[in-house]
Amino acid sequence: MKQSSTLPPERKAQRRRNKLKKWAPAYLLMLPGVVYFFINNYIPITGLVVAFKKYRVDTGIYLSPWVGLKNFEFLFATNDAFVITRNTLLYNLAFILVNMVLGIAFAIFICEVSNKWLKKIYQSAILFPFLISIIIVSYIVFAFLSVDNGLINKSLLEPLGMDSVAWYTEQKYWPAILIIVNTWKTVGYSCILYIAGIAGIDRALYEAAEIDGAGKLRQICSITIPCLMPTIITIVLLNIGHVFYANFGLFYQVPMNSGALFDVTNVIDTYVYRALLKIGNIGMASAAGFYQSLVGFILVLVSNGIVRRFSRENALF
Amino acid sequence: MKKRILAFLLTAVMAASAFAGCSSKGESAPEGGQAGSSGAAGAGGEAAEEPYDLTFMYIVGGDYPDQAEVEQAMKDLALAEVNVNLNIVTVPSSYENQLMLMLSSNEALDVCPLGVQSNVVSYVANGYLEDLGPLLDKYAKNIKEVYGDEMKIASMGDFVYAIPMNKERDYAGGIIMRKDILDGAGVDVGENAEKLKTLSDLTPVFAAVHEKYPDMTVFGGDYAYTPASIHYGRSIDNLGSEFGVLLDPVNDSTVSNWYESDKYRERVELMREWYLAGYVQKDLATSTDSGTTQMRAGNLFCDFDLVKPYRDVEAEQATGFECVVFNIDEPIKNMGTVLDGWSIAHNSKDPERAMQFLDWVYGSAEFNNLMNWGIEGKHFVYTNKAENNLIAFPEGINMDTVGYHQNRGWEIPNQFLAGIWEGNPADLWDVMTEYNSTMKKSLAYGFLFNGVEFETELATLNSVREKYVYALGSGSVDPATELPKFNEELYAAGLEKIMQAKQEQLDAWLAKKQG
Amino acid sequence: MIRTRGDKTFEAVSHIVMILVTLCVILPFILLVVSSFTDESELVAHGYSFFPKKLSLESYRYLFKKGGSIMRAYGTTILVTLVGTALHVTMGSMLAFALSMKGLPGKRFWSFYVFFTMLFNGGLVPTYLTYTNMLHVKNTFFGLLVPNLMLCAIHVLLMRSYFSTSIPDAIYEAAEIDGAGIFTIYSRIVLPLGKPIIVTISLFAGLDYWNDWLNGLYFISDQKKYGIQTMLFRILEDIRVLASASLGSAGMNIKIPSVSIRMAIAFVAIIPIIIIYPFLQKYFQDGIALGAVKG
Repeated sequence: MKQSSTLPPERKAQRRRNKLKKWAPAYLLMLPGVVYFFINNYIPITGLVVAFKKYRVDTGIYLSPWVGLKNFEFLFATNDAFVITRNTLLYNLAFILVNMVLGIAFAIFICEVSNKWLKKIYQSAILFPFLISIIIVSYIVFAFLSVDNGLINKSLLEPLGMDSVAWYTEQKYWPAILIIVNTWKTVGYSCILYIAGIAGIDRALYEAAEIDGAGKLRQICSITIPCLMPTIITIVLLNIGHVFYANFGLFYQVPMNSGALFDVTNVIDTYVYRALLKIGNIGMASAAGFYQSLVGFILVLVSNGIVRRFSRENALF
Repeated sequence: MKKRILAFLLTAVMAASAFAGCSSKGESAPEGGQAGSSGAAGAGGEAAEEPYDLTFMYIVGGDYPDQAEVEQAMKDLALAEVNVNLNIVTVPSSYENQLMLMLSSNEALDVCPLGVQSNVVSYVANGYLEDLGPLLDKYAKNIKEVYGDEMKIASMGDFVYAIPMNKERDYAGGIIMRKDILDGAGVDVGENAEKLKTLSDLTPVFAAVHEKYPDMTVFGGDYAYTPASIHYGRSIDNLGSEFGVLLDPVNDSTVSNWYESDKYRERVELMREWYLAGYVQKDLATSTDSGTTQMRAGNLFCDFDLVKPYRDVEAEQATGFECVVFNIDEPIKNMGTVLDGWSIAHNSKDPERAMQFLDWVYGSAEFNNLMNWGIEGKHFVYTNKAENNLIAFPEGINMDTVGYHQNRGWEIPNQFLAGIWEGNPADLWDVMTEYNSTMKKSLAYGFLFNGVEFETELATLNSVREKYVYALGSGSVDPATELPKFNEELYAAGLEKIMQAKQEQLDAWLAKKQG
Repeated sequence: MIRTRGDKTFEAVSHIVMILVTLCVILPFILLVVSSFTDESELVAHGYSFFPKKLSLESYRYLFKKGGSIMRAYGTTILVTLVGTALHVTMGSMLAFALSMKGLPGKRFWSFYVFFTMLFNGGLVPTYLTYTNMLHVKNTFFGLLVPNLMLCAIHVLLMRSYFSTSIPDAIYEAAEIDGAGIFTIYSRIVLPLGKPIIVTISLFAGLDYWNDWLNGLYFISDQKKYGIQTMLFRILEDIRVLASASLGSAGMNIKIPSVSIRMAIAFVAIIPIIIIYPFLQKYFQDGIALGAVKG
C-alpha cells in the first residue's frame, strides 16, 4: 500500500488496468450468481420495511404508515417470551452438537468400509429420512408413540409388564424425542458433507502415518479431524446463523401441537404461527422474521470474528 | 318484484339452455346480454355495452378431467346472461396464501370467496376488499330476494365485506351416536335423543356402552371437536374472536369471559370425568382423524360435531351406521357463519359490474350447479325435475368415471338453488330455510369486533388459548389446576383490554342501530 | 497398503454401527410403506403396524384414478429438477470458485453479499411481487424453476470452503505458470478436483427441487402445470377438507381412505428417487485421490 501511494499516477492507472484484466474473468464467473441473489433476495429485501409499518394494500408497502416497533411487541409481550427463546436456542445448540459429532463419526465409519457396495448402501440409507416430509415423519412418530395403539406402548411396554405412557402429555420425554427425531431426519445431511470432506484429504498423509506406525484412532485424531476442521467450522458457522430459527414442522407437527407440551416444544416459529394464524398481519410476520435474522446475524458476526482471529482462511467473510 | 325476477330467471334458463352445447357465441350472445343487463343491472340501454372482463376465483377440490369444459360452460353462461367475459382462476382447498398474495399484488381479481380461515378483520383493515354496501343498495335483486334485511349482515362497522354463502346460520353442537350400539347396550335415549336433556345425561349412557363394549372408544374424534374445544355455536356469540363473548346473546349484551363461565367449566369438568372413567379416546387432544372417519372404521361409539337439520341422514351416509343425534345447544344466529362469503377485491377495475355479476350468480341455479356438480346431462341429471330438486349421476357414470364432481356446496354462493344429491331428503332446502328463518338472533348479529388496534394482545391471547383449550377440552389435564392457570394467563395477555374494547364497540354499535 | 489387525477391527466396528444406523433409518420407512397398503379401518381402529391384518390398495387406486395427471406431474418435476440442479450447481460453483481465489479484490465484500442472503429475506409477499409483477413468471416453467431454488448461499459457502482448503494452492500456481486462464482452471482443475463437494451439492439441490411444492402453489395456478409435490399436497388438502365433518353439501358421501392415503402419498413422492438413486450411485464413488492427480 505504502509503495503504491508513492507511484506516479500513470503507473497507478496501469496497475489498476492490469488488476482488472487479471480479475475480470473471475468477476464474470461470479456474475450470474450475484445477479440471481440481487433479484431473488436483494430486491425483495426492501420489503422488510413492512416490519415497521401498518401494511395497507391500497397504498402498497412503501407508502403504508410507519408504526415504529409496534409490530415487534407481540414477540415480547407474552409470558412465554423467555420459554420460547430458551427452547429455540437450546434445541438448536443441541442439534448442532449432536449432528456434528454423529455426522463426523458416521462419515468416518462409512469411509472405513472397504466393500464398495455396502458403502453405497450405508451412504444412501443415512440420507433417506431426508426425503420424507416432516408431516409424514410426525405420523411415523405417532405410530410409535400413540397412547392406545402405539408400537412402543403396545409392543414394548405392555409385554414387558410396564405401564403405558401418555407420550403426548408428558413433557419430560420430549427434549429427548425431539433431538432423536431431528438427528434421525437430518444427520445424513451433515454426514454426506463430511464424507465429501474426507474424500478431499490427501491419501499421502495416511500413508505417511502408517509408515510411522500410527493406528487407526491416532490417524483419525491427527489427520482426519484436523483436515476436516475447515468444513466443520463452515458448517457450524452457517448453523449458528439459523440458531434463532426453528424447524416449524419438527416442533409443531411432531408433537401434534399438543398444548400440554408447550413448555418444552414451543419455539419462536411455532409461537409466531399460533399467534398470527387468526390475525394474518404481514407486518407482524415480517417483524418476527426480522428479529430472528437479526439475532442470527449478530451471533454469526461475533463467531466469525472469533474464527477470523485464529484462522483467516476459515472465516466466512 | 317477485314476478320480474321469476321472468328473468326463466329467460336466463331458456337462454342458457338454448346455448348449451352450441359453440358459436355470436348468435345468442346479444340476446343473452340483453336478458342479463335488464335483469341484473336494472338499467336500460346497457345492452350494447362491451362485455366486461371479470376475474372470478373459486375453489376446486380436485384435478377434474373435464375442468376446462365446465369452465367453458360457466363462461358461456355468464357471457350470455350478464355480458361478462369470465376469466376463471381456480384455487385449492386451502388457498388463503394465494388469495392474500393475489390481493397484495395488482393481479386482476374481481370476485373471490373468503374462507373461514380468512382474516376478515385484517382484510378490511388492510384495504383488500371493496365495500359492498353501496353496491348492494344499487344492484342487489337476487341477493335481496335470498337474504332480505340480512343481506348486509357480513359487515364490520359500516363496511360490508362479503355476501354470505347460503347455508345454516349457526353451527350448533351435537353428539352423534351409533344407534346399533345404543340398542346393544340396552340404552333408550328416544328416537331423537329427546330423553337426554343436558350434556351430563350422557354419563350413564357412556357407562352402559363402556360396560357392554369395553374395547370400543366411547367418545372420540378430531381434537378441535369436543363440547369444550369447539369455537362455534355453544349458544353464545363470540363477536368474531374467542376473547370476550356474549353468554346469553339473545337477552344480554354484556361481554364476559367464556373461559370463566359456568358453562365452560362444567364442560371441561365433564370431559375430565369421562376421560378418567376411560370413555374418551386417549389421544383426543392431538387426534386429527375426524369422528366420522373413526366411526366408519367401526371402533367409535360417538363424537361431537356441528349439527343442523337432517344431520342424522348425513351421519348415516358418512359412517354407514344409523345414528341418533343429540342436539346440545340451541342455535342462535351470530357472526360465526358469515365470516366466509363472496367478496369483491380491491383490485377490481369495475366493482359495479362485479356486483351485477355476483347478484346474478345468487339467482342462477345453473351457475351454482355448474360450480358444484358440473354440466347437466354430462356430470349429473335431474331425476324428476317436475317433482323435486334431486339429482344423480347420468346412466353409465359413477364416482370413478365422472369428469367433474365437487360436492362442496358450502363453498358455492347459493347452494339452495342447486340440485340435491339423491339419497338426501328432497325437502332439504325448505327445511334449511325454515331452520334459518325461525332461529333466534343474537343482539349482536351484524356486529364484528374491529381488533386492528389490539393485534399484539390478540396474538398473545391466541397463543395462550392454543396452549390450554385442547388439553382441557379433551379432558387430558385436570381443570382444577389448569383452568385457573389458563384464565390467569389470559388476563396477563390482555384479555381485560380486549373485553373492554369489545364492550365499547358493541355498545356504540347497538346505540347506532337503535338511533 | 497393508491392513493391520487394528484396521480390520475398526472396519468391523464400522459395519456394526452402520448396520444399526441403517436399520433405524429403514424400519420407519418400511412402516410407512406397509401402512400405505393397510386397510383404512384397520389403521384407524388399531393403529399402525408392521404386520397388518388386512391389506388394501384403496389409497393407490384413489391416487392413480387420474393416472395421467400424476405421470404428467412427475414429468414436470423431473424436468425442473434436472434443469434446476444443473443451473444451481453451475452458478454456485462458479461463484464459489471466484470467492475462493486468493487475492480477489473485494473478496470479503462479495462473501458477505452472499452470506447476507442466507439470513435476511423480504418474506413471501415482496418475493411474490418481484416475481409476478416485475418478472412475470406466473404460470410459466420459470415459476417452478427460478424463485428461491436456483442458488443457495449455504451451498455457495460450503463449496467455497471446500475449494479453498481441499485444492492445494500449488496446483493453481502450476496452472498459472502453464498459462492457463481462470476459465481453464475452473473447468480443468476445480470441477474435477471438487467433484466430491459438487456431487454432494447437486444431490442437495436436486432434493430441494424435488421436494419443493411452494413454488408450484404460489406461482402456478393451472393444475396442469403442477409438479408432483404440489399436486400431492393439493390432493392431501382436498381430502382433509372432504373428510372433515359436517359439510352441508347435500351430496353423496365419498369414502376416501384419508389416513392410509397420507402414507401412500409420501411413498408416491419418493418412488422415482428410489428408482433413480442406484443410477446416481456411481457418481458417489470415493472422491478422487488427490495424490494421484498431483503425481
